[in-house]
Amino acid sequence: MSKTILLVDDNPDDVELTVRAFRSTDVHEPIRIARDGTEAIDQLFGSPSRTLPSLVLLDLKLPGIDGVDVLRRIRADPLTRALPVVILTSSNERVDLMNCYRLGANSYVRKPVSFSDFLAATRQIASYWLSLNESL
Amino acid sequence: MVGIAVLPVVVFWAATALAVLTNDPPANTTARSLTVQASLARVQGDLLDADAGARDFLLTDSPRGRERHHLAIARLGADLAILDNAVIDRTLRKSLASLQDVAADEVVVLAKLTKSPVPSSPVVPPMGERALLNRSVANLDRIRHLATSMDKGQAELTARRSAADQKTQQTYFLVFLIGSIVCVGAGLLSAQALSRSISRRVAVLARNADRLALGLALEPLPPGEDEVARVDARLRQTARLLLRREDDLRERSRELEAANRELEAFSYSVSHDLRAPLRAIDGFSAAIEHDCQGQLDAAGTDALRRVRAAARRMGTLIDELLNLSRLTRAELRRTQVDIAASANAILGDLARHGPARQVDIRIEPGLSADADAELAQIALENLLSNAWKYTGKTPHARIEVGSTPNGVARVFHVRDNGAGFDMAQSGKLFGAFQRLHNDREFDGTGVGLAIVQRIVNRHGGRIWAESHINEGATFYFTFEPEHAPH
Repeated sequence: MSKTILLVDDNPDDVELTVRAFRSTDVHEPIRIARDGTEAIDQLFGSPSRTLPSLVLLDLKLPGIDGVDVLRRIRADPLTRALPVVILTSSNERVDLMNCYRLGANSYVRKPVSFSDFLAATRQIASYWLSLNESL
Repeated sequence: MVGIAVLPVVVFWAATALAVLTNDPPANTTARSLTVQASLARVQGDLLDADAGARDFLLTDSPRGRERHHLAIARLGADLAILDNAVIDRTLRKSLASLQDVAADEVVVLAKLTKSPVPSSPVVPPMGERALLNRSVANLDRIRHLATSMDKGQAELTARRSAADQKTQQTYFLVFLIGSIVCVGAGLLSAQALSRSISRRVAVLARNADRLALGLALEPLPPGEDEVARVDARLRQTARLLLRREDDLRERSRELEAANRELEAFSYSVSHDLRAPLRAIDGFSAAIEHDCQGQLDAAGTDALRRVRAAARRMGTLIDELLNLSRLTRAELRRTQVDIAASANAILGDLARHGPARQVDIRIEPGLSADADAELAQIALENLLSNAWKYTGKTPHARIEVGSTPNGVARVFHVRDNGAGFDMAQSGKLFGAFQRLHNDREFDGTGVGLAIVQRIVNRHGGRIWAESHINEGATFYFTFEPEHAPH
């Protein structure tokens, strides 16, 4: 079963940079993109023959259904309940952090402005969640 | 109060004096009585004299008797007039009228006897000398009898009058005495009642002043129109004014809360929306550097490096700004904070994360503060990292953390012997993004001290600094107001 990463982000620049960052790591899992909450839910729950991603990278601030709603849906469904979800967002507001952990986010990473720092973060996320961590 | 008691008495006395003065003074009965008695005696004397003159004339036929008779009759007129004037009592005047009639009759009788001109009235029937003489004797007897009875009547009258006068005087005195006592009593009572009512009103006024001070509703004042009522009206006006001000204040704080909520929304938006383009600027600059290696000359590479540095710096500034706004929004929770332990931990971190340095650190043992633990930690971090940074080029660097009690508040200080600053520039020290050193000397964003000041302000405290260039700086601060609240 091939591993995939689901990246949920509405900002095309961020999407491009995240894809670039992952391409420079050792992991070469295909990255599927959802540009808003609705697309994310579609990809996760849309077709019965879907394959679940190994990791969800979730932005919080999305048009329409936002990241918190998506997280809530993932944790509410028995099939996706154990899916590793890493929040990858601009916000470091306390209220967002508490909300995400309360709803069952596995990790919360604030996107750094510095691309070098972002590269380092991406490497750690990839190596931890795709290699080191045992998931269902 | 004395005036109120005395006033009715004065009014009463004045009224009494007025009544006594305007009343006719009582007739002097004794003097009048003497005049009546003397006149009666003289009238009798005159008639006897005239009679004697007339008899002398009849016996001797000499002009001497007639002369005596004439003179006596002349005196009689004057004396009768005096008597008529003096007698005022009604009973006595009846006797007097009889006496006057008899006297007039006698005058006519004597005139006939002396062959003198006879007055027209009263008319005496013609009769002989002997009959005339007998009539004269009878007249004189009657006059004596009348005079005696009038004398007696006048004496009785006088006695009665003087008794009545005495009684009137006694009555006057009693009325005066009782009136004075009643007036003084009434005055005292009314003064007391008035003072009781005033003191009750003043007590209510004092209570109302207290209630105003405590922000309670005022109680009603017993009615009245005086200074107390005026002061009470002012109190009520003040209370209404205060209520209005309070409403204004409440309105303001609602506006302020709304503004704070807007600021919060703005900060949230800034943290998301301004950072995203910066990530793109730095990220794609990095992409160019990576993808176009070899195609860029040194100047191009340098330009890209500067773009990336500027983007990262702006990211830092935005984060600092958010931290600053977060301090204002965070709730203040006071606990006992171990300042000495925090300072030790922070300085330990600074020593571990920077290049190896020899710094003499002196921290007052057991130093603690009543403050919000999280905020106090942030304040200390900023002050100590400043001290660490600005002693970076100082040989034998020293950093001290201590305190001195100052009245109500304990004044904490962080002292270093580093670069220091020019006191003339100290006004800019705590402004956000204000720097007294350029980045080539010491890097920084200029937000640290603004954060510290905001933390201290939120505790109701104060921060100030003393420094000389190249001789270090001392930052003094408190976590509570230095003056006891009123």
